[in-house]
Amino acid sequence: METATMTQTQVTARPLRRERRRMKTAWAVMEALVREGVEVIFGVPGGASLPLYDALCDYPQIRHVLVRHEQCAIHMAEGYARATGKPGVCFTTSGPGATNLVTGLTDAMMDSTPVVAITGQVPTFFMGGDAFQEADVIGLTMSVTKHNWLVRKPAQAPEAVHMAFRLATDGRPGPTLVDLPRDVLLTEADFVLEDPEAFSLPRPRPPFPDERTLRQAADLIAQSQRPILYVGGGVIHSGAAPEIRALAEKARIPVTTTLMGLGAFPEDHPYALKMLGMHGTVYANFAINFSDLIIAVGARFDDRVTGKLSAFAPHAKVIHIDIDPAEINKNRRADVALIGDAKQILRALLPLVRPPDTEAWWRQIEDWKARYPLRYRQGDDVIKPQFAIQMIYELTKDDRPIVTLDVGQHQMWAAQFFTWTEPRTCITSGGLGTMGFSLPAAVGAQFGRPDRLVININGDGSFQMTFQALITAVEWRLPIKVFVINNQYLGMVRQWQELFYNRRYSAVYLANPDFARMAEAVGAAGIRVERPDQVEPAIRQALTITDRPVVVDILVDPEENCFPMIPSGMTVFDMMIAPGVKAVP
Amino acid sequence: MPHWLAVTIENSVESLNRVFHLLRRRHLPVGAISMCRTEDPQDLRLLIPVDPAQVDPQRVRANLEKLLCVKAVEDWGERPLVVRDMALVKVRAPAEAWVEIAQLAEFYRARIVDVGPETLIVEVTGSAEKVDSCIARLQRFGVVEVTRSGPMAMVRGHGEAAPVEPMAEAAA
Ligand SMILES: Cc1cc2nc3c(=O)[nH]c(=O)nc-3n(C[C@H](O)[C@H](O)[C@H](O)COP(=O)(O)OP(=O)(O)OC[C@H]3O[C@@H](n4cnc5c(N)ncnc54)[C@H](O)[C@@H]3O)c2cc1C
Ligand SMILES: Cc1ncc(C[n+]2csc(CCOP(=O)(O)OP(=O)(O)O)c2C)c(N)n1
Ligand SMILES: [Mg+2]
Repeated sequence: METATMTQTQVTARPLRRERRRMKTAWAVMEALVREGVEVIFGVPGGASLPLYDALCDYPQIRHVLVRHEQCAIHMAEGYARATGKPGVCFTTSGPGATNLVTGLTDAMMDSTPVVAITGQVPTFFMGGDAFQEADVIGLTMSVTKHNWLVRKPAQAPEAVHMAFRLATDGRPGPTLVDLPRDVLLTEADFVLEDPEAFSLPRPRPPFPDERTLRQAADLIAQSQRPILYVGGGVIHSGAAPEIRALAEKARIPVTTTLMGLGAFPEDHPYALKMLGMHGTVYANFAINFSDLIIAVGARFDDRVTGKLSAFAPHAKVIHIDIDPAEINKNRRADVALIGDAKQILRALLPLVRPPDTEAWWRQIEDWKARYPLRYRQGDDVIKPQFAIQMIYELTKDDRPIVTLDVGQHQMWAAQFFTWTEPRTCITSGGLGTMGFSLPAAVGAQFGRPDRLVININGDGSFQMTFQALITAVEWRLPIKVFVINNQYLGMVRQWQELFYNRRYSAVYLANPDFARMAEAVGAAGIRVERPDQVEPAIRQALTITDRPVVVDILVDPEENCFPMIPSGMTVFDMMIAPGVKAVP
Repeated sequence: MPHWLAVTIENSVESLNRVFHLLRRRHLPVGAISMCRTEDPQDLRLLIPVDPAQVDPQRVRANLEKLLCVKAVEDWGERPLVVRDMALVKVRAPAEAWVEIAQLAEFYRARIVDVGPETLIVEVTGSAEKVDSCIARLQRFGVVEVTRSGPMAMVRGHGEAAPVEPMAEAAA
């Protein structure tokens, strides 16, 4: 087997002047990708995309990572994008190759992740006639991309590629797709190869908020008694973490983040309330619901945060800062809307801000914090999942890892029991909740950040959805640490069945294979952990393995539940801290 | 009076698909959409009626403005408009009824544009109410078929019709 390593090729910067060249379209596409600074592409080849793969041979500065399923390719592209802020790129063939992207595109759309998908298509003269491996990729992906392009003529190809990159990162980031028919890819033409700067989007930008509106926001802050900063993923896209901190400190305002916002405000800061929402902390949920002013920054009032919308934070005015005008008044009416990039808006707002008197508010919050810390009880026999996760955190925190989380209970426990301090270190599927996201996302993150420790916290169910990404990680010798929080259940679903469906467990038990041996079989290291005292040594051992991925299969208490929990569609007064026990403000 | 959004898009099946796809996907409750040509053959104008009691027109607009194929969204909500609907009405008409139909058409300033052995086609233009009323009167003779353009509209006066600054007035 040919083994490729992370350091195999250095990206050689070459001067990218405006140039006229005669070449086949596939080569012009590669030129455009080089000009966009693409260093790695995740994909699988096939008939319709053969010309692209042929051209790839002439561009050794771009690494191609062969995946075992296109869903892995796009989640890798997402992981790369989330870790670096640069768009991730994937290649597929037509038909099944392209349709395998749909889940990942939807995931990227929901979580505002910039990715560019390049798909092969059947030749134009076959299109519309049910040709072999034809799928209406433009139609299929219209609702899950910001825009998609079908390239019918060679000259349109470089422009479509460049525009796909512009749009993926413009404003609210998201996925784009370029569909390239095989005959177009093979056609030779005269191309004008441009600098990416030459392409701009023909779209008006909303004007920056005027002084009067900014003052209104500053006045609301000054007049508030119980303000709270509700910080979301938009702050991470914007790079506005320092401004959030400056605002919080200047005005002495507590900060809670969404799942997508974890890392946007350091949770070791005294003003941090950690995550809010369905499985957020009791104190964050009380604080936002009893607040009189919500400053929402890059957060979209998702139902996992608000619960029953009509009862959510009933006494609060809202300052809503978001780059997407369509988010304003979508779920919650804004008293002051500031449309634009969070960093720029906060910078303009900061000098106008006058600190409100929050003494009494802070006493209240400290009381909630003291009464309702996050907790679990670890005994001698079974491993509590929270304990395992906390150990992973404690033993890796000094390495400042990038952590990918899958979907389910383990995701929520990791959100709760890690102390998130840095943007782009928590990478998870929030909006779509795509099981199987995290392992390929870890691979993508490691390609984007070869300098950082990458950890994957996975569920036993989720791990089996995209296990094959491990094979790619082995091939590239990526030293990713995979921790499977193995409760032998689709735990989150089991929890709902226990709590809301009278314990009638239906299709949630997982008859699992031995994950450690599965890992060994594909060339990764495998460690199985069954007792509490084995957890720490196993994690330490995993951290010493640096020439290949390692899977640590941690068997945990199968029926542990994730609390706090505000049941779907309910209010903060229904917040459970144990089965049948509600938190009292 | 509905609240009209006038949306100028590229005149192509693909662009229409994108607009309708978006409205459906977002479950934005809009009324019956009419489509008109403009002075530019490359363009198509969609007139989308929105009921502000059901959905904030700004939200519909902000979503539409995200589409690359959308060239401009004008909010005609508060503007004085000329609104016209046109119908072609095929009426069963034995020769003895012609005079009466012609008189009725005259009253509605409609025209008879085709005369067949057993049917006439009446062309009527005006407000939707006027067109409704004309069709209702023709029912007596036996309306065989109706085709209507749906409302076409234009802002009255000159100069005011320029696109409003996109989203300038976002949230109140
Ligand atoms: C099992 C499960 C449980 C969950 N439980 C919870 C929970 O308890 N709590 C919780 O919070 N979430 C939870 N989620 C996640 C939840 O579903 C949503 O994904 C999440 O709440 C959305 O986060 P957000 O509001 O930060 O928005 P994002 O989806 O991150 O959206 C970002 C927002 O920022 C805007 N934006 C983008 N760029 C910029 C910029 N440059 N400047 C300004 N604005 C910008 C965008 O327009 C958008 O409105 C859960 C998910 C799963 C799968
Ligand atoms: C692709 C997909 N299918 C189904 C679901 C529904 N679902 C949400 S959480 C969950 C269970 C996840 O199980 P596991 O990975 O073992 O995590 P645990 O909750 O046990 O920690 C399921 C099935 C989903 N989110 N994604
Ligand atoms: Mg599980």
